[in-house]
Amino acid sequence: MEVKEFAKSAEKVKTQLYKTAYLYMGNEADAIEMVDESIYKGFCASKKLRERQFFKTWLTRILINTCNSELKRRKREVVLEKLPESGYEEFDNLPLQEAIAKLPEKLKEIIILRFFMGFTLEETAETLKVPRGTVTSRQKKALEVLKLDFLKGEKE
Amino acid sequence: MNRKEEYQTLKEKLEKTPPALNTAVKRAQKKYNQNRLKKYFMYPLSAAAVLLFVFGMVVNQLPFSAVYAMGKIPIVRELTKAVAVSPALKAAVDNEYVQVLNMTQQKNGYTIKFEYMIVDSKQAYIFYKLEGEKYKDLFIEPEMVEVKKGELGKNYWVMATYQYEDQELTKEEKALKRSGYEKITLTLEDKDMPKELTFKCNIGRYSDIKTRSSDDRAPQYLETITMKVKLDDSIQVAPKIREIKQWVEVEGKRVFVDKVAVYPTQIRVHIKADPKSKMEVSSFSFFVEDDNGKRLGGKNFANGEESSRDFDGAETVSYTDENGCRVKAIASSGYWHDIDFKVYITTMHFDTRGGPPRATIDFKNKTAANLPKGVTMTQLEKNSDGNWELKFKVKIKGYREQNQVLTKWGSINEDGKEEYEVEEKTRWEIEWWDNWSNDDPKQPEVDEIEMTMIIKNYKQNKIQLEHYESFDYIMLDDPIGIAVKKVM
Repeated sequence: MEVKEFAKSAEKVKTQLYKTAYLYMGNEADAIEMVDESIYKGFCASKKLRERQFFKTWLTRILINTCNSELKRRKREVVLEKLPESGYEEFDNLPLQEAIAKLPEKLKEIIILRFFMGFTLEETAETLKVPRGTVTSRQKKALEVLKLDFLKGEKE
Repeated sequence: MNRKEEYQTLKEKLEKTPPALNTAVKRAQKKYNQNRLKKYFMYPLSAAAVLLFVFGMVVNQLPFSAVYAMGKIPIVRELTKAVAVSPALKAAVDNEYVQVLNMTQQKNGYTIKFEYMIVDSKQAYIFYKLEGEKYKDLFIEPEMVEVKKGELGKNYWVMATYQYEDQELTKEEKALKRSGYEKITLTLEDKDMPKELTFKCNIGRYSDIKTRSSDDRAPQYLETITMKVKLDDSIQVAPKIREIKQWVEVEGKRVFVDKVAVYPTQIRVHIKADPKSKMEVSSFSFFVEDDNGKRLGGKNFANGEESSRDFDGAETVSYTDENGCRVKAIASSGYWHDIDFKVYITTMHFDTRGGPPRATIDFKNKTAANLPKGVTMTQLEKNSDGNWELKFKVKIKGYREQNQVLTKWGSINEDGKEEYEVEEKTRWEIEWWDNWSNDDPKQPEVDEIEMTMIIKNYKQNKIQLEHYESFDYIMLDDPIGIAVKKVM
């Protein structure tokens, strides 16, 4: 992908990237820093992106990796390796944003991509390089933990 | 506040983006440009077709080496080391196609030595050394100074190698480090190399770059030294043109391969789509092999071969020639091409001729013209913030198509000049909510969705909306081979 084309495409997705970065980092300044860094990394690697239809999922993957690396570097990541076996009470008492931040990585990324970035199942699967069925099952689990199953009846 | 309210509140909170986000792409691009200074410092100039130099066919009749050789020169061992991993440059050095410069300039404790140059009519490589009395971690950010305005063409690249300590060195960088040289590459697209080149060499420190943030601060240089280089008359030769004039079919699209131009250090291929087609060739990639299958340059991207950071300046070339052909280049040696060989096209990128189609929104008369198929405007009014709010109905089949339709709306131009930001909101996800918690959600059968656009601070009567993404990218698992015969 040419640099000019990359810049134009990045303009179109920067707001979505910001939302994701905010949910990972928890504040505006860090989110902007992560967006800057991800787009910069994207520029550097843009020549490797040969299929433009994957631009959004590809850059989002870069962003998620960048956020995770930064959180690990700062040793601020307090997410759980895996869910507690009995009950999710500790999530119930947290504000939604904190509860999302505390989710195990594999569930957190699904929630952010599907319900804040508006990715389709296919796009989520492509971004995370997992089968669509895995996205579905993780999504179900994440919604259950966050008590977001109320959304099921949204249209009713 | 229950979870539902929290979710809505959080979504609304995320909609309020900070002003710094508006310039995020520009900041990242600036940082990218600064950090590739070293290797690929690029001057972003708009592309346009300009008449190419008229190539003299008589050149094709001359013995290859007689045309290109610059004569016997004393090549130091260090230069041989410097080009060891760059096959095209190595061939040039092996054939003594090198101009000795031996130029030294000093200023305030900084010394630049331009020692050798490999140059053809489209590309120049300067091998230099840089020293400083006070600092050792120095680099050059080169700029070109045109004696006659436009003499380097509308698109050119000048870049210097860069050996940033935190960066893993490429093969070429390692070879240069061993040789003690650094390299400036100047690549021209449509013009031929002038008789004299003026390099403005901005000297900086790596340690300064390391602390340079990604904000918009201009780089601080320690010193600037100007170097003027006169080109050896013998390099002002035309490339060897191999006329092809052959139609090939790329997944149903007719493509005309016009010619292949062979330079001492690179090969350029000229291709265009059928003029009757609505699509035009905007890019392509190729590699070159001899009749025995030996690779003479280029990568097979369709086969997973990756471009490395060692890519040559030639690979940045992409322009339209006087015949409307798209021109792409690879690094290769003209010294290998006085033979029959084959060009293999591996990828082809088509765009809508003349750019993506646009819809026109007339605020005064509340009309929309040239909307994409299946899209109708249902609302056009100012909201409580004084911004234009547009609503469209978009006919779709299923969510996969739905998402593609939505992304077809991107940037906005006024009279095709200035770009404006558009907020795009969609409500399609509501249709999915019934399926969110299902193990095997089925694609919802949605016939129509609503799309909202917010246009902020817009004062004109009309605005143009681009139909985002109208392209076709083809990756050929089975590359198309084109025979390039030796000119007798």
